[in-house]
Order: sequence, then structure tokens, then C-alpha cells
Amino acid sequence: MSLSTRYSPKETEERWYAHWEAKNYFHSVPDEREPFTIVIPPPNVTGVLHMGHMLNNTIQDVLIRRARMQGKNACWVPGTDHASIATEAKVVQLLRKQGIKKGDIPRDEFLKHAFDWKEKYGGIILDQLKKLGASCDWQRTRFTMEDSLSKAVIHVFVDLHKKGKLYRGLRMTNWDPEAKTVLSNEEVIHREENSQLFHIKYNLVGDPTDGIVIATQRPETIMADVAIAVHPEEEKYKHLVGKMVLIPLINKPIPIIADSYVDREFGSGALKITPAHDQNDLQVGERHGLPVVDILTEDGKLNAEAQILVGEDRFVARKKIRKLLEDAGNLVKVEDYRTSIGHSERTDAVVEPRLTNQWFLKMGGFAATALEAVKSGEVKFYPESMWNMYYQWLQEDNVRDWCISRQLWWGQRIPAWYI
Amino acid sequence: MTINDLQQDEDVVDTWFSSWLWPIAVFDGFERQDELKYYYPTNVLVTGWDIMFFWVARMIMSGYEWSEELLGKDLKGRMPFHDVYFTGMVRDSKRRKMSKQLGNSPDALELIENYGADGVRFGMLLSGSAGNDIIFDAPIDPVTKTVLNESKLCEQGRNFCNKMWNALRLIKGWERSDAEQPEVNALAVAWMKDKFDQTLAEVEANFTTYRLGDVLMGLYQTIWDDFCSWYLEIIKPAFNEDGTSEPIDHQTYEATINIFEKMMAALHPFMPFVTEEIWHQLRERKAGNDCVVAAYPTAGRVDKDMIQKVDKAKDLITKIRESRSSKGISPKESLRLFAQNLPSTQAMFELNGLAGLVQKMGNLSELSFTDDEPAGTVSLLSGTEKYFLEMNITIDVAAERERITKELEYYQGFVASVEKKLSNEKFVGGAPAAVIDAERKKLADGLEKMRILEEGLVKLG
Repeated sequence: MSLSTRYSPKETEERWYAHWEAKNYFHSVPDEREPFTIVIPPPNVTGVLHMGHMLNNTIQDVLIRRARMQGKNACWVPGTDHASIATEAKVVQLLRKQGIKKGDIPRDEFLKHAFDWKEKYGGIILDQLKKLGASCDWQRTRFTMEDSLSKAVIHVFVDLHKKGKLYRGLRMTNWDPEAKTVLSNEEVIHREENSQLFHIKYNLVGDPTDGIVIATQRPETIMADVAIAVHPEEEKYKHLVGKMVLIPLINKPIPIIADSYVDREFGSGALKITPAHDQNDLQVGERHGLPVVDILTEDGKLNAEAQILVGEDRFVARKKIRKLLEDAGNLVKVEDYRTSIGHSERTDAVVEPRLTNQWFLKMGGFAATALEAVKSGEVKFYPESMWNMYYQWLQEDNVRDWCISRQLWWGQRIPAWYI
Repeated sequence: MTINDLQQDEDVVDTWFSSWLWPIAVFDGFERQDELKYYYPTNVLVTGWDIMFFWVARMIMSGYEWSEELLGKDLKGRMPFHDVYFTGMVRDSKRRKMSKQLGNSPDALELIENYGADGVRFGMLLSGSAGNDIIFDAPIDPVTKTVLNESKLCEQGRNFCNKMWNALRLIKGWERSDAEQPEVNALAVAWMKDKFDQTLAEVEANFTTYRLGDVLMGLYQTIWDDFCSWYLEIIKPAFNEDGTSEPIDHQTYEATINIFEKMMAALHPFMPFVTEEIWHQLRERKAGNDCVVAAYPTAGRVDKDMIQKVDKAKDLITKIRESRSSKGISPKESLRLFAQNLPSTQAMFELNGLAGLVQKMGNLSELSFTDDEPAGTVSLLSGTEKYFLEMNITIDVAAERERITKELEYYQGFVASVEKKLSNEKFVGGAPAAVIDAERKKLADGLEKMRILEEGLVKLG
């Protein structure tokens, strides 16, 4: 027997992987031995192998191979995640290339396209993992949208509903007007950008010579204003609190209110209150029992409530209203301004705060349990220092109820029916 | 009202609302519990810290919410996993996260193509430790500004494969004889076995705390340095004048195959392909005797005294080789060596085979003890013991003085740094006793070396 002068990975790797698979070494069924189980963090079904996967799966493979050699019943369960927003975006894109718009086809047909697409391209990443040598039990390959796993989702939804842990409520959410879906906070990318601050004068009802100047980045939303707020201790505005002013251009009367939320140092020290389009304004509005006027459509255009510029895109409306305000004499000044603006991770559209009906899971009890599990040592973190981050996220002051609904089709449909 | 008057919610649930059930759902645990009962809780989750809240925390929540409802008294624990190993983010040399958008991430499959999966796995595992960022060394092309599918660490992994492959070829090329095992080989085998057992003890300790990079580094060093560079050199049969190799005794050959095989099993989880290939090249095997399912080696008892003596001999051999090269004497020329007659050197060479080992590796015609400094020799220091190597050349007094002076300067600096450390109250107050003892020992050794070197300078006049 003669050995080649150089080791050839190409030749050996393919041959041995095929041998291991033929021998079914990676398959596990329950028996008398001690089990050693790892579930793979399921990569997106649309994904391809990247450096993070290589690292992560090499580590898992080291651990599972050693356990197998130690005589344990080693079971590494592979699978993929349906990744609703990412996959749906890809399918929408693909259909668009074929001249089909998502809105033009029924839900069932869209899902069929999505499943076809998954059959064709999904799971490429699993084959790539084999090249790395990953010794997964491939007979156990799972997918988060397959029947059994979808049933589990529906089961827990119903269970949580029965336990009183779910509720539906109108919430200010991060809205992507392009994808027409709610985004989680983590799907919003904040960037420092150049913007402008518009100083607009609201005339006092019955006295066009007197009024109040506010500063806003969003002049196109003034039609949704329900009040002007000033700080209760601000001397120069004290005489105005309780009086009414007119929203420029549409001449709708709104009250001037006092609220300590107002930052006296910002702009003119007076704020327009627009509950439908700003999270903080919503809270101020709730405190003062003010109505909510929503002037935007789901795709970011002005609706009939706006009275003017109806049908215009929010950014076109901003340009046009500047001109209108100038002509009407309400625009005091415009200054350049640097601010952080949220963008959708998927579409890059500027995220719109929007009030929508959503399903929420109450997190209080869950978060406390999850904290205790790690604190007590039942679940151990390596490295231990990760506890700090975990604690920061889960402590009572920081944890918010989990908005679990998404305005998408690719995913488990919420099992709730309405009359 | 009929069912047709009801309309289902148009929305779907967040994807995390499905993946938070993953450790239960992959075993169909919400439908039947036969598999869940066996596999749950899982042992370890390996994931990035960036999804700690989205996924890890929520799986813990769902685990505690449902596992007990589903499993009742069969429950082995409510947690979905006992351990969580957080990996760091893979970053480039400028510490930017590797991403498709930035174009700073090498193509994973191209890397495998270039270095083999084993090489890439080696590179990934040595790039960082749990929780810390992984700085992957793929360079950026200075002209095109695109990332290259290259990596020094992966190359090191590929070289390691070749090193082991060459060791295999060397061993498989030896003829075997029924001759009795020479003492030197018996000692080499005993040393290598114990040395590897020492490594295995570290392997076990590091595995329990998920220090996988340290495990791999330990195996790499012992296979490359101890096995390939020392052990195989010691047992390598001599060459005949016609260039053919003498045969090796059967016992040593078998022992070598056993050790190599054990090393391949220990390394298998890290580099599965090359180890499986060598495993099968080492000997004929029955169907099913594959490395992937071989028993993982465990550490045995080691003879620490023997290891220490052989390690001292290795240091002596290194010094002899250095002396030869600094004096321009060929390694092929046999020389005589005299050991200072001390209880410590006496004890050292009482070990069977050790003198033969030093003679073989140092190419010495004779090794004996001496009470004084034989003429025509240069002295060398190994540990705190002095040796005298025969030189068939006249000694360049000036050069020798310079050499000793340089070495003396080094030890003066060394002693000063240890003294400084030991005078630091913070260090002495905070460090474990064993660490302080080790520092004190370093200081004593350093002072002893200085004393011997100064003595040497005096002798030169």
C-alpha cells in the first residue's frame, strides 16, 4: 500500500461523510443509554452558510461528536426556520419579477408559491452544513412551518388565551408602510440623519394677531393635531393655557394644554400633540382625555381625515405643506436638524408609529420565571458574564408585553375569529 | 349566526412565537411525549448572544410553561437546556461584524474548498472563545477592496493535517523486526503515553467549561511537538549507508500505532475527516470500527517524575544542539558529554533509557559524570545543572565571554522582573499561594543560573 504524498481533503471528506451517513451513525432513537441532545438554532430557510453558522455549527458538532464517542445516545436535531418576514419578502420579490403582485392573488395561492419556493431553494443551507462535517440526525430534520410544529403554535396560542395571558389591544407599533406590517423594535434600524425643524405659528381663536409657535419635524401631520402643549411652569405661555388655537390651513380649533412632559429647552418650548402619529403624544393625549385623529393610510399616504393633500405620500406632503404654510404666513422659520430616524430592517422604509390592533402576550410572569431559571443555576450560561445582559433585558422595568401578531401571510395564522 | 359570519384574523404570529417552542416541538412534544420524555431537557444550546432575548429567554419561558404540563412525573427538568454556550460575533480584523452588506465576510464554502473542512473548523475554533468576539483573519484585497477567501488560521489547520499525514507516511514506511525493544524506545513510549494522558486530563477539564479552543490547542501542541517533533524522532530507526532504514522493533511499532490512534480519536470531534482517514490507514479494521464511533480516550494515571526527567532531557538535548550550531559543529559529528556529578543528575540518569535517549538525540559518543571541568569542553546549563560538551575546536574566549555575558544579562532582567512582582503587595496579597510559590521558585532558579554563569565568566578569566 502506498500513501499519496499529500493529504487530500477533497477526496477524503466526501467519501467519509457518505460512509458515516450510509452507516446511519448520526441517527438516534431512544434507548437505555444516557441521551445527549442538542437542537440546532434553526437557520432561516432562505439562508446560505455564513461565517457565524460555520462557527456555531462547528462548536455543536464538536460537542455532539464527543458525546457520541463517550457512549452517549447523541442526538443533534437539525432544521430550518420559516423566517416569516424575510421569506415573505423574497417570495413577494420573486412574484413581482413574474408580474404578480401579492395583493392581487388570494392568500392560499400566495402560500402555495411560498411553499413551492421553500421546496425548491429551502434547505440548501442544510446541505452546506454536511460539507462542514455536521453530524446531525438528518432523519429528524424539522421545519417550523410543517404541520406538527404549526399545530404546536396553535395549541399554545389557545392555551395561553385560556390562561388569560393573551390580549388584543390598540397599540402604537412600528409600522413599515412599504411592507405594510408591524415591526418589532429590533427590526427598526436607527440612523442619525439630516432633517429639518419647522417652526409653525398657530393663531389664537378670535385673535389672529396673537398665537403660539411650535417646532416640529413633521409638518404634514398638523392636521392630526389635537392640542398644543406647554410646560406648566413656563411663564411666557401661562396666559395661553386653556385658550384655543387654530390648526393652520384647515382652521380646526384645538386647546392649549399644560403638561410637564414638554421640554422647555426644545424648539420654542411648545409642542403639537398628535396622538395617532407619536408614542409620547399618545400618552399625553390619554392623560388629558384628548381624541385620536389618524390621517395616514397603511401605505403612508394622507387619508380623508387630513382634509388637504389627501392621497399624497407623507414625504411629498411634507414638501407641499411647507409651501402652503409659507403662503399662508404660518411658517416662521425652518432650521436644519440632526436626528435619529428609524428605518425598516427589511425595506429600509422610514418607520411610521401607527396605532393598530395587535395580539400581546403578557410577559410579567414569564420574565420572572426566565430570570429565576438562570439565577438559580438550573440553566447555566457560558460565559457567566452573559447573565448581566440577560438580567438587563428581563428585569421588570425593561420587559414589555410581547406583540406576537404580524401583518404577513407566511406564518401560522392567528386562530381567532371575529363577527 | 352561522360559521360563515365569522372571519379569521388576517395576521400571522411572530416567527419567534414558533421557534420559542423548538426544543419541545422538534420531538412532537405537544402531540405525544414518548420522545420528549427521553430527550428533554436538551443538554446544551449553542447560539449567538445577539438573540439572547428573542430566542434564548423565550425558549426558557416556554420550557418552564409547558414541559411539566406535558411530562408530569416523567420530567427530568423544566428547563429546555442545561447549558447555554454563547458564541461571539464573527468580526473582521477591524472588529466590524462580518456581513453580506459590508462585503467583509469570506465565502464559507470557498474557504472549505481552499483549506478543507478540517482546516476551516480548526481556524474557526482557534479564533476566539465563548462569548468573546471572533476575529477572523480573512484579508482584504488592497486593490479590489473585496475580502479574500483566505485565512492564516485555516492554513495552520490545513498544515496540521499535512503534518499528521506525513507522520503516518513515516511510520507506515518502517520495516518491522522481532528484535527486543531497546530501552530508549521503551522510555519514549512510556513518556509519550503519559504525556498524552496529561493532555487528556486538560482536555476533560476544558470540555466541562466549554473551552474548546484550549482543548484543540492542547491537542495540536502535543501532536505536533511531543509526538511528531520529539517522539517520532527518538524512535526513528537509523538509516543504513545505502539510504534504507533499519527496521523498528515490533513492540515500539505497535505502541506507536496505539498512541497515534488514541490521538486521532481525541482529535476527531474537532477534525473529523482527517482523523477518520488516518484511523483507517493506521491498521486494517473490521467493518464498523470507525473513528466516529470509537470510544473517546480518557486520561490515565501518569508518572510525573518520569515525565519531568524526560522533559529535562529534552531541554538538555536542545542546549546541546544550540551549542553545536553556535560553534558550527555538524549534528552528524559525535561528541562526548560530561554531566556535573550532582545528586540531581545522578537521579536523572538512573531512569532506564534516559542516557541512551540523550545520546541518540544529541549524537553523543559518550555520556559520563565529572567532578571538575574537563579540558577542551564548553559548559552548558540545563535547568540548574551544568554539562560540558566536548569541542574538537579551540574555544574563542572572547566569543564565549560575550555569549555568557548576554545570557547573564537576560537572567538579570528576568530576576529583576520576578523580584518586582513579588514586591508588589497587591499581587502577593491577591494571588493564590500556588502562584506565589511558583514565582518564588522562578526567582530561586534565576539566581542559581546567574551564580553558575558568573562562575563561568570567572573561569574564562
